Amino acid sequence: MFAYPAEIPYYFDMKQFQLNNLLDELSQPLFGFSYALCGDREEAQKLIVDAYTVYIVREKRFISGKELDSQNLKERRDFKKYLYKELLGEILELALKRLTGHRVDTEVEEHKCFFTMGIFSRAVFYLKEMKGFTIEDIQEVFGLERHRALEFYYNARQAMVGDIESLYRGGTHAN
Amino acid sequence: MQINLTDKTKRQMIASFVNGTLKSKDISIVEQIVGNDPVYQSFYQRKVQERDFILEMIPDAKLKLDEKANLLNDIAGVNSDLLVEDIIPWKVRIKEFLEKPVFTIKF
Repeated sequence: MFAYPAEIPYYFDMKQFQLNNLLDELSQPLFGFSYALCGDREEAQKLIVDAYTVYIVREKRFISGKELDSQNLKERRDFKKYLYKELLGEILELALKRLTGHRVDTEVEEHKCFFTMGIFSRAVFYLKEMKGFTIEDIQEVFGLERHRALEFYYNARQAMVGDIESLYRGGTHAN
Repeated sequence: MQINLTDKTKRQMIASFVNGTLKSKDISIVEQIVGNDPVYQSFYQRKVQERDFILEMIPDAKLKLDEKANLLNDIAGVNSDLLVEDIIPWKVRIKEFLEKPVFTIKF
């Protein structure tokens, strides 16, 4: 007969085990996103834990009822993607409440321009450029209309690379 | 193979190729465009430089091992605190089951 190891509490169940595993895989991408919003390692970790707590409290019933079939890899992949997007949205929402008006002082010279942008622009730009999200993905994650998502993205892009493009237009490079 | 595309389309395809959003069936066309024309080669190089420049400007922080362990510990704590299923004694479950009518007749 199967017996739980001593260190695992009696209420341990498969859902928690599966969720812990999924979060293990998602922790790096979530941290990268969270850091891009707040620019502080500790704050980024707190943001993830708090956003996750808020999400679990709100979706407790759904998560409790969810049991992944360990043989069905597609279902697992889809659920992981779903959870990733939900948590990105939750982290952004929390960051907007906590960090609006908060100025990020970074020591890395190359990142200064990035941190001068607003939180929303940073979020959209980070996901689009760094993680290869499409505009449709961004719309889904942040609940934006298409024109708003494009506006945030192009404004951020203009702020970051506008100078280079004007340099090219004035120079001898191909247009 | 002759490629009959406008200049604008060619540039858009090269930009999509660099962004990684180009369809796989069009990759060979872009390779041909870039390989045959120095103007498009220059355009392609510019786009690659621009992408690299952007990626350098965006912070991509990674969790250190100890940070990851702490974070996952916190998350496991949240799971075990919030996802504990309500443990209902079997006697209560049977009582609840027996109290419910098996069927009802509406007059």
